[in-house]
Amino acid sequence: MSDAVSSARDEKKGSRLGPFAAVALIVLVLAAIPLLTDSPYLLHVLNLTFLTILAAVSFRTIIISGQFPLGHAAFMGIGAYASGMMAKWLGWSPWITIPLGTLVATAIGIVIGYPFSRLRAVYYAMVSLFFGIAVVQIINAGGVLSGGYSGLTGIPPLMGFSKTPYYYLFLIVTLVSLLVLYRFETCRVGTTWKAVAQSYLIASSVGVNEAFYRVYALAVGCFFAGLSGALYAHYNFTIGTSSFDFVATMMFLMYGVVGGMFSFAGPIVGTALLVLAPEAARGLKQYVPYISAGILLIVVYGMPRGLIGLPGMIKGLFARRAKDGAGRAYHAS
Amino acid sequence: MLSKKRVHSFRVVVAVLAVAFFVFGTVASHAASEPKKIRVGLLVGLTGWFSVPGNIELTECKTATEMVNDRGGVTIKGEKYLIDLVPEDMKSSNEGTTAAVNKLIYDDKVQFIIGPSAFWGPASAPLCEANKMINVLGYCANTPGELDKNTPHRLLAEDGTMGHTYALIKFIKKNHPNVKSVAIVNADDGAVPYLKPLIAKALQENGISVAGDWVLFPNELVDFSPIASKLAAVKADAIFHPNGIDRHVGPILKGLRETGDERWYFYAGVSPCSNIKTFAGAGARKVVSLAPTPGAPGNPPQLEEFIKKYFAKSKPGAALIIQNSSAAYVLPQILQAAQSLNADDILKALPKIGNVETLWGPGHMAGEKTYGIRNAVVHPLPSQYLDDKGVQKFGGWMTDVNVP
Amino acid sequence: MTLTLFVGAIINMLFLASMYILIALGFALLFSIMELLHVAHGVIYMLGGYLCYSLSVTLGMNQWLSLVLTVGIICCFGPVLERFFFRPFFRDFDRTLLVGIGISTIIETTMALSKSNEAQSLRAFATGILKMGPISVSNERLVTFLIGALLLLAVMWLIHRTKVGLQMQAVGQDLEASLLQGINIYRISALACVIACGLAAVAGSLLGAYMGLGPFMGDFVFQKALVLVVLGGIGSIGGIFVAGLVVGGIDAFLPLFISGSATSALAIGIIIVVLLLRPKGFFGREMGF
Repeated sequence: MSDAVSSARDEKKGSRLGPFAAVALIVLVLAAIPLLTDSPYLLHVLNLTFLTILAAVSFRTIIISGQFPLGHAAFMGIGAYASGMMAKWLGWSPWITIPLGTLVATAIGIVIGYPFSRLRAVYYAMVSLFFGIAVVQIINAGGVLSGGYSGLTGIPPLMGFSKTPYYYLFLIVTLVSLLVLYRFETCRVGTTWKAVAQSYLIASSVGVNEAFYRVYALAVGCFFAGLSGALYAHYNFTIGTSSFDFVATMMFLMYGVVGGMFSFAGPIVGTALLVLAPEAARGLKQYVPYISAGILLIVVYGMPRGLIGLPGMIKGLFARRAKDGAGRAYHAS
Repeated sequence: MLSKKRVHSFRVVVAVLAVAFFVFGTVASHAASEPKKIRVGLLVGLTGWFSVPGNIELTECKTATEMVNDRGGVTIKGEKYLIDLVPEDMKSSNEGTTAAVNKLIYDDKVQFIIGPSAFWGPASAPLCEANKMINVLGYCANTPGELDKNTPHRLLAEDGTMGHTYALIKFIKKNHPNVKSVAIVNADDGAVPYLKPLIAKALQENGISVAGDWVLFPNELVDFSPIASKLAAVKADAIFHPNGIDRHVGPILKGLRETGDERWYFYAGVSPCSNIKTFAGAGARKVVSLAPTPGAPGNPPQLEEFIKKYFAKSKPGAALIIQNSSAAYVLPQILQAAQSLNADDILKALPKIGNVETLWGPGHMAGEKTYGIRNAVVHPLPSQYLDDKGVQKFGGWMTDVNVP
Repeated sequence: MTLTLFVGAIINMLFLASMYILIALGFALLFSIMELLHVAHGVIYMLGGYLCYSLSVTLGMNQWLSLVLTVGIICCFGPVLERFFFRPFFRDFDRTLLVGIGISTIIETTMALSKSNEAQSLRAFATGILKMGPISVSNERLVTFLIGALLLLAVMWLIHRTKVGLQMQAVGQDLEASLLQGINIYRISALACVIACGLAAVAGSLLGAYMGLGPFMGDFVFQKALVLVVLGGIGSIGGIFVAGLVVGGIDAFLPLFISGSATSALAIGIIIVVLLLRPKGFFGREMGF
């Protein structure tokens, strides 16, 4: 009996070690890339991928609390513009404006979170969508301060113009942020979020303050979206509202669904694929949109649980066949 | 038997050596006479909402590059170079432009960059300046950072909003001398606060006042009838539209004529009257545009050649833009005049460069007062208009366009 | 504000309302009544406009005949829409959204690549200007307004007075109960899709004549239609009417007081405030989820 228990305990430890080792390996490989390649362009693409992964995972964080934030990209924009405008017009160092921009995005998230969280799921989605549009329009109407429709230019760089320092910074920031978000999801807060998402009535009957947890999820999501946006502003030196509109939020949804929304790693896998594939296919020039749309349609139609669910799906296919085979064998005998 | 094998193998060796020498000789002589290439990156919108004009620009730039290469390309210090155009899609957006600039500089390793045109000028500035990459713009709307004294590596090969404005004002003075006040309408993009004082001054210098405030509309506006109503209520002799596209001008014109407003509509942009007519429907009359008219008197031969070559490789009906292609045509001449491919040498030689041939005719370097830096090529502009019956007519060339 | 400007704004408001209602009707039929999120509505609208152009301008047919033919042909997309884009993802909004976006991207890119000149427009469906005192309206706008109003009434009659309309409402409100009643949800959905496609085709043709055509002309449709549906309330076509007037009024009057991009920002701000005060919209029912 004690043997079984101790072996079970060992097995659990072992199963936890597996994914941890895989992640560590991936991180080591990523850390080594700048030393192995001499193409700053590859680093640039990976930099953008890291920031997008951060934003896409933060999108999912809000989703698991039952809210559908169709205006999420706007918070990236708020972080980006707040930080960019403060650095450009007030002359503050980007090391100060980036945290400030992130806090501005979080604060706005909390402020609109309370009135919005009272709404039921689909209404929240619509209002969030319109809020996203409103943010974009307000920035467009910002005249000289925000650069209006032409975008904000002249944003001071965070660390000069070489790609490598940004690579390590974004790698570390993204890694730490993902660890934090994963911790949120697996600890008590995350479980509460999932409970609130599942049933409005039952959660409150156990004494959970729904509104508080919903705003909490929104705040966390907006924090990381704002961070991603602020970092982007000081990396790209120019920002425009076209990066933060409804289409951008749809991209987060796309990354999540293609990767598999049920899994934490889903948006990560989805982002990596849908950012790197069009980049690799740049040679196709006018036909690049077909690649992204094609991947999207194939996954949406063929893989209900996204790419992460693909191994499970294949296993399920074989398991079914084995079961049928066993049944036939039974009948034959 | 042994000797036969030896002879056989000897013949094989001789044959192989002969082939090798032949191949080597051909390759060597070919390499010696093969002209070197200058890699010029092109920022153009191949996907996204501006993709139809963008694809037109791609063909235009290929045509202009072909013309340059057919004439022998560029000769620098006795060495002949041909232009190798490397287009990258900037996806009709600001972030797409920076992504494409990153690709051109770090991956395609181009030596110069052409574009963007239309609205996206400022987006390529930071990276090009940081990498000392000479960037020739296809258009400039005077937003900060687009072209000023902090961007010494930027050149402008087309007249831009201010050049077009000056040309249009010349047209008004010549053909409509009784117009003394204008109501200005424009899309509300980031350039407007910076253009307002410049355009007001340019009009004032020519005895035309601006009536009221500019009528601005959001870029994504769908129906222009409220804007037309607002514009119709502004008391002025005519309407003035500094920068925009046919999709804006046409519907505004339609709405204006519907309210009974019969004033002349002066549009300083590049969309041709035929396109404006398509969108304005029954209201298409008394509108001026600065688009080229093929075969018109005064068209410089290089423009006619360009138009002919363009339509030889493209479907008919395309509306020529000639912004990025102006840059493609001008850059080789700058390189030739500077006799160097090195950015520092070129910048040093720039002040000595006075006249440059453009697709629009003879141009000269200017722009010190307007942009803060003498990096703009100013060239003549043609005009065309729809008369009061809606018939399209050629309006003549404005040859003394000056952007101070 | 002068009388001319005020009267002009009223006329603009009515016309804008009819225009927005026209583009929202097909979308509303599917989303508001049947809770099918039809993101590709804008693309069908665009295809309708281009098809009518091909028939009337390229082939030279009578424009009204082209309109009827266009509606007929585009309606055939309806069953395809139902079978391949809605049925596999019933009630899964994430996937329906993404599939709609994927299809829209593919079709828009294809159209953009096939055009050498973007400036194309249908000829006006009616020429001439109607002048009555300070009022001056083009017959084109009048015709668009009338057709929009007629179609709105027709759809309202369909939903509230016909058997199929009631069946559609039933499917949207309670799926299980409808099945128990013996309603063939697939056939009803297909019928709704057919009608929605036809409405999109009419809108695309009429507005393609008024505003001109373009491969991306359908981009604004989803947002505007969604605003009207959400503001009017899910489940109510009559709500679309009121919402259309409200949004049309905002879009017609605000530019007279405010300049530039601020009008869009303020317009959507007003809409958000209304939704926060009344999430169900003007006449909406509670959503089933």
